[in-house]
Amino acid sequence: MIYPPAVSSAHFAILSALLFALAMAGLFLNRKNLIVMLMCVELMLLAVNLMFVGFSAQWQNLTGQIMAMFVLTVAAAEAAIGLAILVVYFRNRHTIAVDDLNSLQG
Amino acid sequence: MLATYLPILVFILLATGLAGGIIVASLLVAPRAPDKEKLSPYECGFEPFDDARRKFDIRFYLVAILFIIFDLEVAFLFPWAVSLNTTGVAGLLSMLMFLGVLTIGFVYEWKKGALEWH
Amino acid sequence: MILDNLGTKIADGTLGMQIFASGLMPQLTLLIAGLVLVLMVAFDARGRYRTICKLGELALVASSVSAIASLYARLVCDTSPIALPSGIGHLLAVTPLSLLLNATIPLLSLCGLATSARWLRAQGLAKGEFVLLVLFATLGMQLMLVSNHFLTLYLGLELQSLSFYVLAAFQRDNRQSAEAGLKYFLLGSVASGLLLFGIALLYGLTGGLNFAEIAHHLAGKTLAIPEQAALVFVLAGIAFKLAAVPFHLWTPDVYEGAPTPVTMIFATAGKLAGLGLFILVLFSPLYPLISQWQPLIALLAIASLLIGSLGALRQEKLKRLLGFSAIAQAGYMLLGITVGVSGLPALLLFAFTYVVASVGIFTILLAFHEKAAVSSAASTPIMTPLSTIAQLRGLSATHPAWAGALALFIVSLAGIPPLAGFWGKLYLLLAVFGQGYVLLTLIALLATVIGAFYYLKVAKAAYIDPADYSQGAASKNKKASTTATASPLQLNASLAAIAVTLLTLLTTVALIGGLIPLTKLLSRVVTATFPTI
Repeated sequence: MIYPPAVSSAHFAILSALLFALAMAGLFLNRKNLIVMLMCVELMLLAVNLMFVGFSAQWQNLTGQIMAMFVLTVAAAEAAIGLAILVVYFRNRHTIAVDDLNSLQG
Repeated sequence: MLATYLPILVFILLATGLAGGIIVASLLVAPRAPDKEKLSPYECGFEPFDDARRKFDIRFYLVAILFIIFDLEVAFLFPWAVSLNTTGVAGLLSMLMFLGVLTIGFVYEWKKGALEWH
Repeated sequence: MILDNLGTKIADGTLGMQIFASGLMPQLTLLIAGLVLVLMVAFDARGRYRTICKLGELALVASSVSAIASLYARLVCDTSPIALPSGIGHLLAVTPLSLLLNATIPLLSLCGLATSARWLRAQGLAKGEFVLLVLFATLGMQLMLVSNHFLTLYLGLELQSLSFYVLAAFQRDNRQSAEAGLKYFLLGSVASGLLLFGIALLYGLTGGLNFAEIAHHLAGKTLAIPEQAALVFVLAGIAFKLAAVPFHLWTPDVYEGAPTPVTMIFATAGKLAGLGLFILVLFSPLYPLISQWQPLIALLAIASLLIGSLGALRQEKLKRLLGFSAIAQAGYMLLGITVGVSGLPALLLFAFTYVVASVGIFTILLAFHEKAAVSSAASTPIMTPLSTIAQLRGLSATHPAWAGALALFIVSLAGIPPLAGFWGKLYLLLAVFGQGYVLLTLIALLATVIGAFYYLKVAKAAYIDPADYSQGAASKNKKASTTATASPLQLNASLAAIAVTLLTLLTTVALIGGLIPLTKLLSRVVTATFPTI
């Protein structure tokens, strides 16, 4: 019987690094919409979470999983605050385009 | 080996039987007077078949935000419950403090009117 | 163990003693006060900002005092700290350095609250939530500095950051404030993401998140790409908090857009916490990588010094200028970190002089506002805070005392003898030079010269330039019809006046006499914190 190649922690690390890179690319290439930027930030944190859980399996301890849970809750709080600030911004400017973030200049 | 899956089979049979039984029973017993509103699919206050890119009430968003925070904080209860027999009194006190803090936050949002729908 | 025999301990009072001896009193004070105040704000329908503000200030003082008491017990009475219960000790560690910073940071937040009450009311921002956010931000900073584990470090950092994001956007109907909050939030959460990625890599490499565990595992290893990647990501995350180049882009914008009392807290308490974070991370879990991070930090320092100084040169807006100056100051601080543990006392002295001068400058900015009627239709004048250097013109004629204090703080920041800022900078540069970093010292000197130029531009506006601003502005711009250049916002808070006088004294006389004992204290704190290094 042929076993599929085992999923090692390196695979987890590479996958989450790719996701993280994707989020970074989204943040820097996206010039249109602030909501997309918030989603990229969330993707970033979730990529890190995947890494924590993968390494937790590798080291056979729970530290990584506990850290992942805390990151998850902090990410929720961060998303809530980010959206709230975004709403405040929208009320003032009536736009959520990234290019319009320009009223503060020297 | 296969016998270990027997309980699952029993549960599947029970679930399908119960669900089917209830549907059949409601078909047979319940009175029916259909009208247009009753037949339309329900989607929490929205027209179900409409342009999805419509502005919707900001209060949905507020409730969702408040929900997601409390939802995730409650996720801490699961690992706590599993490990309570090793953490003992200290674990119990810690969770009480945590829930106390959460309750204070809840009281704040309640008094500030974040939960009122009008 | 703290939790053993709980009932008897509460009865005979040893529980309180044990909690005090654990050194976590500053955090507990702020936590309990914060929670009580949340309830007070929730049930307070009439908006009694004053009461809530006073209680918040009281909590900050109590927190600071308990940190000082713990530090005194550690250093002077040489009582060995009681061991925290193993679970807590794994997560938190109270060092003398953390106690010193935790005694200072609440005082800086207190200055932010005490000097801003009247200003906030004039802007319609005097809401209890302001006090709450300041308290929780302070608690976050304190928690971050006593962490012994990346989990608590991250949680403290986020508590601080999330409160700061909201504070930056606190002036809800002001588009600049909203934009500052949004920018700070986006860049800040990216920075936390980078830091977390670095932490995850460290966890993968070492299998633990406790600082001692990580240091232990890193010590024996041959360093390869994964370790370096982890180091770079962690550095990127914490460099953002200190506003070091290349993660400085938020600083001028957020400093300018955020309400002035908030900027004051960012520039003082936030800066000191960022420095503490840097010291904590680099000298505890990442110390085995010192040969790797030293050149990196030196590079960041040079870049911050040059970009901060050159950027400040062309600024006409006061808060933006202070933002660039904060970048340059981050450069000086990183210089001190490059030196290693032997540079830390000098670094701390420098940071304290910087923070004192900053508090003074922001207090004066808050005390003045420009009366500008937005249009003829609006009968009540809208108070806009002082924003440009030009608005300071002629200040020495109208308000000589305030102008004098401003000049003192500015000159101290610029590092001109005999003021405290000079001694801080001298001590720091001597430490850098003493380790043989000649090029770094030269660049820092260059930055100091440039710095003197733009700092003195502010003093020149207040002292030498004629007060022709009002007429010029009135003819050019009908919106801003200022009669006097600036009028002091009746500071009923005598606290603010007391603060300014005290700080002025500190900056001039007292510090020169107190420098030697202060540096001795700082050296003792540092050696007690890092006994093995």
